[in-house]
Amino acid sequence: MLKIKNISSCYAKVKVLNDVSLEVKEGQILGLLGRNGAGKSTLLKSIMGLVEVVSGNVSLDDEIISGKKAEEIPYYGIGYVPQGRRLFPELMVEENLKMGLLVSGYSADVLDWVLSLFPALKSRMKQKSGTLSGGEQQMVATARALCIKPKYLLMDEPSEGLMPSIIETILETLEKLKTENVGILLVEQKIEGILRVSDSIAFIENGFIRAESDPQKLKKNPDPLEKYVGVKARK
Amino acid sequence: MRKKSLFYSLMLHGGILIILFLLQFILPAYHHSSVSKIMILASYAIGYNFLLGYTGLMSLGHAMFFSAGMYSMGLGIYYLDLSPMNGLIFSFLFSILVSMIFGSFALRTSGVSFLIVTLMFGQTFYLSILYFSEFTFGHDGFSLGKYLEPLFIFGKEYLFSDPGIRYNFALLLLLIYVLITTFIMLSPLGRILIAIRENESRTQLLGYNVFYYKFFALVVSGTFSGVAGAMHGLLFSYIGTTFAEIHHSISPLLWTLLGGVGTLMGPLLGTGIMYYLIDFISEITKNYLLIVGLVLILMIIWFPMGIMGTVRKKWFKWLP
Repeated sequence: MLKIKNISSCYAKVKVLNDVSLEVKEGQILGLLGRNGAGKSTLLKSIMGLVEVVSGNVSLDDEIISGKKAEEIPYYGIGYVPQGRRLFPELMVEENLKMGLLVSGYSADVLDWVLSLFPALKSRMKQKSGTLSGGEQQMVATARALCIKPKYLLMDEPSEGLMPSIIETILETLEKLKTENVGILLVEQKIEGILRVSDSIAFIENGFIRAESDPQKLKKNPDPLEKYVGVKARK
Repeated sequence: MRKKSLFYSLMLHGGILIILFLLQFILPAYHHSSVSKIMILASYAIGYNFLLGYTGLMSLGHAMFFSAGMYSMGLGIYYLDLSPMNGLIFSFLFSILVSMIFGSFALRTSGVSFLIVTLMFGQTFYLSILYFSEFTFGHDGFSLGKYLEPLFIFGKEYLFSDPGIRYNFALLLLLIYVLITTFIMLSPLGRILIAIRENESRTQLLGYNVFYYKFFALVVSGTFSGVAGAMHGLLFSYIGTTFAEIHHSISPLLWTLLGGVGTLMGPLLGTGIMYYLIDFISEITKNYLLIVGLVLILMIIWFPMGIMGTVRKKWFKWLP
């Protein structure tokens, strides 16, 4: 289990996360919702060691990983798909994926597994990733994070700027990953998508976790959606 | 790299090197010497490009590496009676040492801070040469000519100042640098360096310790530059502080920008154009730098990614 226990994080002296506690279980998706600036991306960056955790800790299967260097975190089995894809545009798709294979020891099986999740990439392997469409770039970014064969995957707004059919592909992939026992912490703005695939939902506001729920409860009582995200879920 | 791209690339670069080899038989004496010098300076620029073009680290202190190689070779021959070849080996080892010391400090910074630190290191080295002028001969520098043992090839005696030796040693150095750079850049290591250039934090988040890779790139770059400096001193028999001054750090940056950052032959092309541009215009006017500056501005407007970089982007995507 990926356990976030009472963590607080700062940018310079500004506290962005306050006493945040969450749990991501294997084979489950925890959706994290909140308005812009609520601290969603900062939470993912804190787990990945990009933002310093000033109190509390993050542990993976009871081993504390907060305080480790960012390059050490993937070796614990945590993959990260950042907001805005962040590919290596001058490298081919194949090279982007191979970059992700370091942790899993450049295994061909892992590459085959990743390509089975994103078959559309097979015909793009020799293409520079900077020349791909936004949807294809998102697939590469997700595929690259999966190349480390993660036990847990952190995804920051994977549907941002994508057309509905691509979002559907991404959501289907997340559902497949659940069946393969990968735990996912999903930050999203698209409410319908997150409600469809998540097992539980947490709401963050001003760096505090304000409420925790699940899609079924939110269908019956959508008040937290309106209160913390500003939208009403369709019944 | 696809097989077809690799084939085209081999043909182009092999062709350029063969043309350079054949040129020595037809060039008049003045241009023979100029092309020798261009090849040495281009080797220096290839070293610079290894750091800037492939790893994304811009330095303003590379004259330190160039002059460290040059002075270690020259002073080694002068004070320690080293043979020219041992002098080269000594400068090679000294360049690695200087690069490692420099890298372990400078790479703790990034961006503009890195640029400033490299500038400060470069200037400190330059001022140190002047400060210890009793040992280094300060501003005057010194000529190596009479201290250099002749070279024996197939039993025949040659001087390093012999035009044929000078030309072919310069070409050999260029060839070695092109081969090493190509080998590294086609290997997974090269891909990691490019990934760091494209997105350092993302590379780190895939489990790569970017400090070590940047350190490696800096040591390769510094060593390339140092050995180029040593070779320059050996073939042109002069060791002087001119090569440690700030302009000698800016020059490889301009050559690389003009030729194409992150391209294999860009540094050679940029160095050649700049060398002959200055050579040609300085014969016409004393204010040649004004004209050179204007020409450079126009070239950057037409070729915003450098000549080879723009050619690669617009026409020949297979160019390495």
